[in-house]
Amino acid sequence: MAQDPNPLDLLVRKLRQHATLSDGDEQAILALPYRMRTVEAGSYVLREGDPPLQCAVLVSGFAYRQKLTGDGARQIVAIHIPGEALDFQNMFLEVADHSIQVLTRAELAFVPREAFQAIARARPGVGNAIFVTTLVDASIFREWVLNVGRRDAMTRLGHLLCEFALRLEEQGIADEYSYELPMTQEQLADAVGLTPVHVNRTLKTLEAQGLIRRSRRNVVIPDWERLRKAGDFNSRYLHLNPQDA
Amino acid sequence: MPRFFFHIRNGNGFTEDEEGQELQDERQAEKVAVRSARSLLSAEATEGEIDLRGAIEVADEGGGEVMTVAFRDVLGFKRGGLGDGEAQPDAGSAPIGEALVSHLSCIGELSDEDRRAVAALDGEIRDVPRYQDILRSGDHPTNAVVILSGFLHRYTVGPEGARQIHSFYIPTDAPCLETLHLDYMDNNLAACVDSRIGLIPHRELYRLMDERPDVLKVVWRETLIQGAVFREWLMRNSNMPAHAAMAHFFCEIFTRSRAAGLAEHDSCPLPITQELLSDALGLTPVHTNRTLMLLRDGGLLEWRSGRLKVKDWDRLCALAEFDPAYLHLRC
Repeated sequence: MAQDPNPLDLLVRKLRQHATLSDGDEQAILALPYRMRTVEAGSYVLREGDPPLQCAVLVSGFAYRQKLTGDGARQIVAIHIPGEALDFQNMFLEVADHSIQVLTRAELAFVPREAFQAIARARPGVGNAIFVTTLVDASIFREWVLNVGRRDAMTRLGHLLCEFALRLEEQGIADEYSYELPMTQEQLADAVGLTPVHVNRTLKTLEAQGLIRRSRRNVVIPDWERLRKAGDFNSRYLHLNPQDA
Repeated sequence: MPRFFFHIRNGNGFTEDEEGQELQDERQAEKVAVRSARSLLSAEATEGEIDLRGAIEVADEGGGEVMTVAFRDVLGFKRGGLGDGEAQPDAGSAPIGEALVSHLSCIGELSDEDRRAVAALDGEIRDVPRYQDILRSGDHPTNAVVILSGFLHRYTVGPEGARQIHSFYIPTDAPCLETLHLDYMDNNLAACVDSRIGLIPHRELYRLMDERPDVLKVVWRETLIQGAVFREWLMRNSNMPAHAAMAHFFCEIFTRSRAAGLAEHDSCPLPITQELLSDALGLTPVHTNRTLMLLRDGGLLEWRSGRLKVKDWDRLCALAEFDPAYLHLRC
């Protein structure tokens, strides 16, 4: 837990994907107060209806945002990977409109929300970076709406696997063509709006067509271009290289 | 909570679920299986073709089979045009053409195109109450019959008024296809229980068989197999002791039900009375009842509430010297 000199380094890396930070901005972020906590798989970081007083930065492990229908069916609306701040969405909203849970055992750095609000006001560069990051989150939400609403099962899963590949690579967590996907069929099903049985069959079909290889939780993409096509994937919505826009 | 595994078996082969889902109990597992089957079929529906052959096989952690949920059983169908009045609830039965495709697929090879052409066959759907005759000796049928739900039998009545049953028919079977070429019925077709049948006009079938030689071949093969079954019943009824003959009957029904996708693990529907069974085996009701007890007490099977449950398939087959070759099944 304490080997990492500063867990907020990961956040800096994340913010730099979408915005420019001065050295002073970076130092200010690293100087934010935080409290580390390790939580077990399935733990809640924030529950729907609670006031978001802390902003958690995911240091290791995976987390997801979820909403429930009236009769308890779950939709996973976003997956988060290390380096991402889980509560920027709630920075200026008084009550959580969805829940955040960790997918795996995870380490979180909790920063008081006022500290983020203060740094965003005091340092326009940091404020801008946080703003852009929440806009990118929104862009991913839009893409997911398209994904579950208009793509067939194969394309949906293919798209999700492409997205993870790029995000994990960008964050320096995995090679673009091979990564650990710590999600069960049920969780994948809730993310793409299918049943677990359908997800199982679709993954097997993707495998049979040579688009992915899997062993336990490991996903290997033998031919990025083919999976990209099968998943109808265009990375523009991730806004990874703002200079190319 | 126990973990259940949902394997898919269909035209694409076997899709194993290595991960499973933790669920409260078997009832919950059944709900999940039904929902899953529906979701798979709904994806197929958007592609324009639903393949109802296949099932979700639910297994427990030890790999033991818990239940099988057939795709055909998870959807209801309403057919007919707008304004045909109240649409009939059609619980679990496939449309007429689909049922015939499924039956013929167990009998011979059909190309996808042939299958589609047969599946497109349609006709009148009719509900037949228990014991009612559908066709009588001397009738000149102009329709082929396909069973959508229930159970049918064919019989003739001897000079003393004794009824001999020649055969039973299960959903998707098409009894009396020989009437395509024999112009009048020489026996009777009746319902064992409340049943639903589809009637396909003969002319539609003639047209299809003219256009598609492979359909003609399979229909021909079907009627030949019916002949083979009659021969087997003749041998069974005249040469086998009662307990072996009855075991043979159960083996046949279970084998055919399994081929038609109606069996669930070790059981299948058998909604007939002991009286009907007596008339099929040529035994008195008392003899039938005694023989049935013998098989039941021997731990070979259970038969109640219209369901046959096979408890020891190997011994049942051995007793009956059952060899399914005469059914000429290809599925």
